[in-house]
Amino acid sequence: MQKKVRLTYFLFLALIISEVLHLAVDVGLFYAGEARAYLVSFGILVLKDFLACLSVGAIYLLIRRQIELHALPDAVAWVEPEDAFKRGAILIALIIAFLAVYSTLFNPSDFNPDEEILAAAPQTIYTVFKSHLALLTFGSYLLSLFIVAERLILFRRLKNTKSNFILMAAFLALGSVAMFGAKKGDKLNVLAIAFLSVSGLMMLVNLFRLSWILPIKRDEKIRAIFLVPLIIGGIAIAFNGLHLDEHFTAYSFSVSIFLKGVAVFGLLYLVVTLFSLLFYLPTSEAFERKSIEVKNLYAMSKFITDVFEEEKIYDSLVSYAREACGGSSSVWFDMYHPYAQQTRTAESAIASKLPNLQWRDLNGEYGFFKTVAQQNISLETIQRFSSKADFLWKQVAEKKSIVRIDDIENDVRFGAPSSAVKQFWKRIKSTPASSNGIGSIVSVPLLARNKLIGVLCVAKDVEYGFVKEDLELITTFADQAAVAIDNSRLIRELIDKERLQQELLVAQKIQLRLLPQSQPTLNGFQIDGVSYPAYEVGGDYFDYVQIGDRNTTVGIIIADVSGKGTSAAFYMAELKGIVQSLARIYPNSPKEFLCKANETIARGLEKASFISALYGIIDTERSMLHLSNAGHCPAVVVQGDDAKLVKMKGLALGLDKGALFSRHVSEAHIALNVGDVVVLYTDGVIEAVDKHEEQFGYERLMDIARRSRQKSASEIKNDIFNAVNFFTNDGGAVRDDLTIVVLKRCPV
Amino acid sequence: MATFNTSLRESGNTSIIDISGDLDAHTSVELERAIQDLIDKGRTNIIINFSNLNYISSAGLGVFMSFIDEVRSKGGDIKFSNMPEKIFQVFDLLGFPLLYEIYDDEHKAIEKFQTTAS
Repeated sequence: MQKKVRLTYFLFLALIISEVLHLAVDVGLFYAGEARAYLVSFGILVLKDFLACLSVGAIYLLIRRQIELHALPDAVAWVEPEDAFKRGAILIALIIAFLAVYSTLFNPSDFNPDEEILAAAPQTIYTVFKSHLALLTFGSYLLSLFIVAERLILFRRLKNTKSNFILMAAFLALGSVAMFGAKKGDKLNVLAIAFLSVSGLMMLVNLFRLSWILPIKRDEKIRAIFLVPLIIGGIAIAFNGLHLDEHFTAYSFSVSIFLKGVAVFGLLYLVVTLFSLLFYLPTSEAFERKSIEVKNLYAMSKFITDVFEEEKIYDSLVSYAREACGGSSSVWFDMYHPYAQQTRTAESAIASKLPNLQWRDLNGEYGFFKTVAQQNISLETIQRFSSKADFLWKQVAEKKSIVRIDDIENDVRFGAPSSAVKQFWKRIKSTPASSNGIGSIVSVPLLARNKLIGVLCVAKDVEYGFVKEDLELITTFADQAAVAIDNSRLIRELIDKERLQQELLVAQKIQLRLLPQSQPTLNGFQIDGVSYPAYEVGGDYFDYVQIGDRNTTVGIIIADVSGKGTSAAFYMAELKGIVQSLARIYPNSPKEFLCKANETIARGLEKASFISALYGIIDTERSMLHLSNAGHCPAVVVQGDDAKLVKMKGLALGLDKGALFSRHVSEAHIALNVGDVVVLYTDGVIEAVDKHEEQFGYERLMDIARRSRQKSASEIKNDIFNAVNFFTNDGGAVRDDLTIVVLKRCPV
Repeated sequence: MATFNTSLRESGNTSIIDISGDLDAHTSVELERAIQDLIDKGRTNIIINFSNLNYISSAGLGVFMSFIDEVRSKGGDIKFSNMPEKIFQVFDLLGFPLLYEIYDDEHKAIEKFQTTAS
């Protein structure tokens, strides 16, 4: 920073010194000229030219630095073209005014026209000052013009652009330097003509570098069209009206050549600019639109990342679509809610009470549309429109394709007369309000994985408001948004699923605590059980209840709630409460217990649910097992070398309110000897299948029980469980919850 | 994924639903809808033909329980026919034969409906 500031000061100092010296020489010459003007020597003229070059160089560098320093960070051209033109026009007006005022104040006629042989023939000392002022002001102005032109020409430069420009400027400078020491009236020498011709050729090359015009906005172009002629006019006036040409020559012949070259180039460039502006003006709107489209598409592609807020996507979609179709268009987005297959009638009824509803399928086949975002149109207007145009939503729901209405007033679908004459009459009579200010409309479906998400409606107040490009653009927006919305939903689903999973794990823990945590110690009996739910929670239940104060009588139950998963788990919990309380009230008869349990359960269970249960009372003193069965799998009893199923009549709990149940449920009384084994289980064991869809079945169960009968209750339980697992291992499945309870009488 | 299908036949005042495949918690929805449609149409004489059913879960059995009261209160009935042995065992175990009429042959069930009607 320090260095930059120092450089500026240095340049400024150089300018002042060279300018003061130059002025001193000129003033000296003026007074000398009063006496003997013809004595002006070649050396002094070269000195003058040298000082002038120094000044111009310093001015050039100073202005260039200032423009560069004030450029916006990312402005390649350093200047905004329109802004530069505005400043240029104001500045030239000020300069002309200033010089004109100076001229009228001090001297109306500047130079002596008769004394052409003299290097300078200023009539008064004021003329000398005017020459210097002209250079400092108008000369600086031309240099600024040159710098701005350079930056604009270098905008979006090609490979040779920069070298072309430098060549032009360099040859112009060389041409000027070649004329060092010349005075007014001198002819250009051969070298200067050669240099200037090359420079002129390069000007032609540089003139048509106008790539900066295309990107600027239409409004800016229009303003520029008015400003550029002002600058051209200003320069022309300055040269001719204020005779600045002569002052430049008086200042320094060689500098005047350079500045005139710059002026010529600047003027030509401005003229070409003017014509280009005029030429590009009609297409600039299209260009601007394209660039907005690109910008919006880019923004749209970014909102794909907006996955956590679906509502934000609707809003973005609506505003992008509106921007793309012009600010006067109205845009809204209707979300599609398809009916679930089972509850469609109910949903249709509920839907009719919702606000912002645009269309509802009364047959319950599809679903309904609800406005969730809108711009430049009120919900009431949409409502009024949709009441007349419900076919639009229907068609989108049915065909999932774009619906486009070009002329709503005269569309037959809106009940317009079909004859052209009648249409014409109707148009003359109708007021714009009759169609809610909507002349044409496009409805684009948002589809994700071939499912309809919603419909984007874009309406314009004029007829035939949409061209092919509009449709393409809206469709692109809709597609992008559909993907974004779909992603958002998938992610939300995933999050919900995870949360559900967490809650199910909690439920699983609780359910596991509803099962016995330890085995009861019974005199002369071993007992063990296990339960595995097919999903996180299940409907299987087994339990032991101590009946009476001593450890001689124990109730044992195994049950299976119909259905699976959460609802079954709730009934299982309810069942546990009933079992724990009823078992002590009916200590003697398992049949009575089940009848009472049925009465209680039948009241609370929903119609489609029922519970199969097997209840037994173990009497350790008499070594008896009293069994009663409510529609459950028969117990397997292994006595000696023989295994058999204890089949009993019965009805599952909850199927009948009472009479039928108590009539049919029966009891069995089994005397257990040492070594006898009883296996209770749920149908998960029997219905487990192998890869050929063959069931595990009763035979296999009895077989494994018989073979393991010598082992402890826990081991038998494990053997059965392992056998089922082995059976289903290779491509089979345990379809249901699986529970096994084993009771064994062992030696005391 | 288990497959399950229902198809409907009419025989006079009686509607026969043929079911095939696996009837479990997921597929039972389809059977529910088939029966509900019949009830909505006022056809409450319903026979379920099980001849092609491979498997039935407790949720599948629940379907019949959820409709039987309504059907009977409207003077109709749900009768079962042509049960494979494996399926019958499941019904028998839970005591369903006490609640429903189960026939070997569909025609006997149709006859039963006709005699009740006349």
